[in-house]
Amino acid sequence: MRSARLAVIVALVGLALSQPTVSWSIAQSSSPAPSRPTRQVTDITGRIVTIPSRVSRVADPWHANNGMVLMMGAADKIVATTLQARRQPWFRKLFPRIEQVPAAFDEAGDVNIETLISTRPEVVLMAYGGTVPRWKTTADAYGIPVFMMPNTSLADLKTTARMTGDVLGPRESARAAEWIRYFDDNIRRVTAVTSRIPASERPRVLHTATGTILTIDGVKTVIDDWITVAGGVNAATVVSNARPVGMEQIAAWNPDVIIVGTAPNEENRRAILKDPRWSQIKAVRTGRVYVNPTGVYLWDRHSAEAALQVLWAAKTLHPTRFPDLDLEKETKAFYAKFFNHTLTDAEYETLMRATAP
Amino acid sequence: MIRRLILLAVPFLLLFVSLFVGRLDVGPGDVLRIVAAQLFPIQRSWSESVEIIVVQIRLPRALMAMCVGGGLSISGAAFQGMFRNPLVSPDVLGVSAASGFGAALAILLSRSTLELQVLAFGFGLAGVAITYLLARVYQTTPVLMLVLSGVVVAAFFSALLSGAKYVADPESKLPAITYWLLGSFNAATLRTVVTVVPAIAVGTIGLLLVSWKLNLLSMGDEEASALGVRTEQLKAAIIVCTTLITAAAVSTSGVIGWVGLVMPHMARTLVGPDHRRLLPAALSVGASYLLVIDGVARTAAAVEIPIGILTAIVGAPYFAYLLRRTSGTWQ
Amino acid sequence: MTAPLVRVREASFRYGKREILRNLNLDVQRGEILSVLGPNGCGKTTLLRCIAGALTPSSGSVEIAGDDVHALGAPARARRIGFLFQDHAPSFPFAVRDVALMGRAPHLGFLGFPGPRDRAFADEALERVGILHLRDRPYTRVSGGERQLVLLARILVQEPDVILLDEPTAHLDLRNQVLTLRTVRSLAADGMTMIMTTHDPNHALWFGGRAALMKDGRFMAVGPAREVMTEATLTSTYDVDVAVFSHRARIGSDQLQVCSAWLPGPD
Repeated sequence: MRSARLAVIVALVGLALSQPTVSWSIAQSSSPAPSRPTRQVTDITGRIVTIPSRVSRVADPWHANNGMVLMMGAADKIVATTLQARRQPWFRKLFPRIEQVPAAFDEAGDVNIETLISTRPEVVLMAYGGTVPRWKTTADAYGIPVFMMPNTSLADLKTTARMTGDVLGPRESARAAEWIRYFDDNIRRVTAVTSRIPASERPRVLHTATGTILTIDGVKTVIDDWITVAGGVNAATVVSNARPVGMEQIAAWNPDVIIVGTAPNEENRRAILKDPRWSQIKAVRTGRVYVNPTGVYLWDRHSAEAALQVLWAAKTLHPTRFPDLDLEKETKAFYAKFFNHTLTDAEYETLMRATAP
Repeated sequence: MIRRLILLAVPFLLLFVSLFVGRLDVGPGDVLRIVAAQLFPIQRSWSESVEIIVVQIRLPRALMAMCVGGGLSISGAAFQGMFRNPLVSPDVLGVSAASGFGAALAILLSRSTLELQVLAFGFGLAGVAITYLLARVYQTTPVLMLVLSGVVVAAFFSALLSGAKYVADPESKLPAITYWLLGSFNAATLRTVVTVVPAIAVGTIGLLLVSWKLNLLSMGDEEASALGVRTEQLKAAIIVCTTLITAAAVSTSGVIGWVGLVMPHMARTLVGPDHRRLLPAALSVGASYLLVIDGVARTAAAVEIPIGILTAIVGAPYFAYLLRRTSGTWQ
Repeated sequence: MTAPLVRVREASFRYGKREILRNLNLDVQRGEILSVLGPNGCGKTTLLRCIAGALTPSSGSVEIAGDDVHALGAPARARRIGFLFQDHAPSFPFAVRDVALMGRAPHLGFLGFPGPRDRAFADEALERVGILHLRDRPYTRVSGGERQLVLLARILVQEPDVILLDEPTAHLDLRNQVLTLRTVRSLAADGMTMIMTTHDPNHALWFGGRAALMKDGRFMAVGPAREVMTEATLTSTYDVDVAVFSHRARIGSDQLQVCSAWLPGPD
């Protein structure tokens, strides 16, 4: 009996001692081999992150950012992603291989660390919302660099595009710069007109975030930013994304325009038009209830198509002030240039109606 | 007698007052005229949008709050008698967890509001059916078995619910599920009120009909049986009634806690433990309570405050006070 | 000779592998008091429960007024049998009057509500057991003995043919014991049939009536109390030395028969 107990103790001690060895060897295989050249980049929190000079394996838990990476022509570098990003019908159409990329990150932003490690990413690109994720220490321990980027405003989006390009490499960096130029151009085009619109002619816009339970996007969000750029005013006074708001409050705001930002957008739009409680709201009475376009990602959130969103929003809110703005032409040009895809008329319709291609 | 009249009148009074309260300023004269116009032909002197506010937005919410508040409260009172336990709420058999999962499923699959109601209601009934069958022992369902089975079933559906939240997309579905679980009357329309009232009415009438027998049942299964009560049938009838009420409430308004647990106690302090008086009092107290709470939820801020949060903030301290006052004996 | 009100025939009760009652036969006439005595575990409570219909014997039958008790539904049973439980645990502070009123249930139907006639009945029952003055008090705030009387009143309201009492004086002090037993005897004097289990043999001697001595699920002796409760039978039932003696009480001219266990002194 004594010898059996001794044997068990020895086995347990041996197991315990072998642990660091096991994790050490995993760490060895996932961190960049010391012989490869590295460079240093600074993320939005000010941390200095060391990544390989040539990055070819990227993990991207930021749904919208996956689309950015696709836009920069680097989608084949994505080795770990999210279910949400993978599910976007347009992403799947333009880059079918995304289906095979493991979804190491869940919807809440948590990670399956073993899946992540097995994909051997060279850097993790993610959104920084004010707090560092819990799993960062584990990622650090395994030598996986985590690079954080800002995500609260339209201006932040340009920073994110630039940073993403920087991390991915010179080719992508150049693409990002092109995109930023295009984005800035669009904003200039639009604000040239909208900055001269007097406050009394700026429509009050309500942007819905969810349908079954009504939530609204308020101020201090990216939604608020493009509404303002496009010459409108956010009808909601609540702060932040997806806030629950009572029907009476909506009636009190009485928006001039309603933009339905929730899938299934068309159904939600029809539900609003049919609901007697919405019937007296100005936007419903004047028929100004619109579906927000969705493509590789939701145009109205931090996607690459945000560059088109400002055009669409401007044309929707002030059709008469933008007679020369041909949205269809612009969209087709954008997709051809940045996604290498020629849109057919039917495909353009699916973007506008936020349905699958 | 006076007390009975007061208890009968207060909820309707509060219902009436609710029509005057809200984020939008509607003149009291207009409200009165609009209400009168529903009954008599009156010349319209107010705008259509104001009529929508009063009749399509405020009225359905108030009616829903009354029905749900009264229903949850009377269900709680009936269960506390049946289980001989003052800590029991209508959720004890798992109806809220199961119903909540049904609703989350509907949200995940982007189903319409009507389909959500149906799914939530159906799952609620199914959850309780499973609890009941699990608790069967030699053709009886002892209350201890019911409670334990309820814990198991609730835990199971809570786990499924967590799973649903896990796969829900955080931009649109997850917030919807979260807010729905916290409870709200924002989705109340005249149509949803009409769909929920039959179930709640049937359940409530059923409970009122057996309110005297509840006195006997609260003596324990053995004694009640010795007094000639068909205990298994009575328990089954009570479970069916409370489940109808609670599943209907949850399917339209989400999970609202601390009403079915606390309001029966308040009613008991007002009218005593005799269920013939307790059940109607619980109905009244619960309806009044949620009318007031909803008034706060939709008026205090631009953002909707979820009902479940308000009832917890008010209910838990009151419960603690009751606990201290009775020194744990609930007498 | 009229048919007995209660007929127990060849009743056996098995709990798992244990035989608790072994082929018991018993007749109880209308208007009798029968005391069932025996040590703990002899099966007297089980027997009482079988007679009440709460337990079903594994073989044999119990009939009350000619009906098989186990074939009756709960309401019909409650119209024939009143059962006073040993371990009543109050849950809510119902008024004494409302507790008594509960006894009307077997006469009212599934959705029945008591009316003024039922309330009068309940008040009469409270009067009969002498606690009408307590009728508005919460029954959790009366003494143990008074609570037994409330429950007895509830049984009277059922208008049963026979009342079964399971150790009605357990947990009661002397005064409350006497209160309870006096009421029981008074009800018996009115013609009510009563079967009572008791742990104190003196109760049986005090009531007169019949006594059934039980041990290990069998009757050791059944018959008029004073006849069957001899030192021999009691000693073999309880497995202790029991002495039975008469005592001339100072109060009244009754000859009191008392039995007591013989406890040898320290020497």
